[in-house]
Amino acid sequence: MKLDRYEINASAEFLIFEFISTGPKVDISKIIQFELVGAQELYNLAFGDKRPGSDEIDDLITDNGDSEKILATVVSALYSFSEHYPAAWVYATGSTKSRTRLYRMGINKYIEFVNADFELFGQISGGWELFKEGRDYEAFIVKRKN
Amino acid sequence: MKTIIEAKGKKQIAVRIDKSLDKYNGVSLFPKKVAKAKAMLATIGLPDKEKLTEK
Repeated sequence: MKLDRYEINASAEFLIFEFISTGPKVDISKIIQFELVGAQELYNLAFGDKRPGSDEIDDLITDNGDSEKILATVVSALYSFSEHYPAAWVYATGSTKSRTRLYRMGINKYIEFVNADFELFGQISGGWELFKEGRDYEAFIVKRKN
Repeated sequence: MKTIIEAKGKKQIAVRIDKSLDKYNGVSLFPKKVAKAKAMLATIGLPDKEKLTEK
């Protein structure tokens, strides 16, 4: 399976990634960050729009009509990150329920791709379970298979 | 900038290193999301892989 995605740039430590979302009207620079959260190799995965003309990042995602391609790009950044941090757990959730649902749909689309190389869990009812399609998860966590 | 190809198995992710992105090192760009992750870690913790895969 080939991911239709944008090209990505990375910081030297592979914790920050940047790509350009190309829409019908505007191009939007987007930043992905993997941020260490605790002492257990847990990293938070989040992404948002870079404000034009500044280095400020908005914790929102403009609908540029390319959400599937954006999610595929985030998956490719996850691959790159996990090559350098193979022991990391990566946590991701949406800023709203609807956005978390969008992520779940994106994961469903690439589930075979992800399952081949990652252990994937969904957060539900105050705990974790192995990811199953169709479940209404609050968040997701993945770890690269070694 | 330089371009590298990362390969493992059949998957190849082309990544261009852009040192200008290093300006974000140590900067929490999404503090609300990180707060959620910290809360999760403090309450339910990480998945217990062995327990979950036994089900």
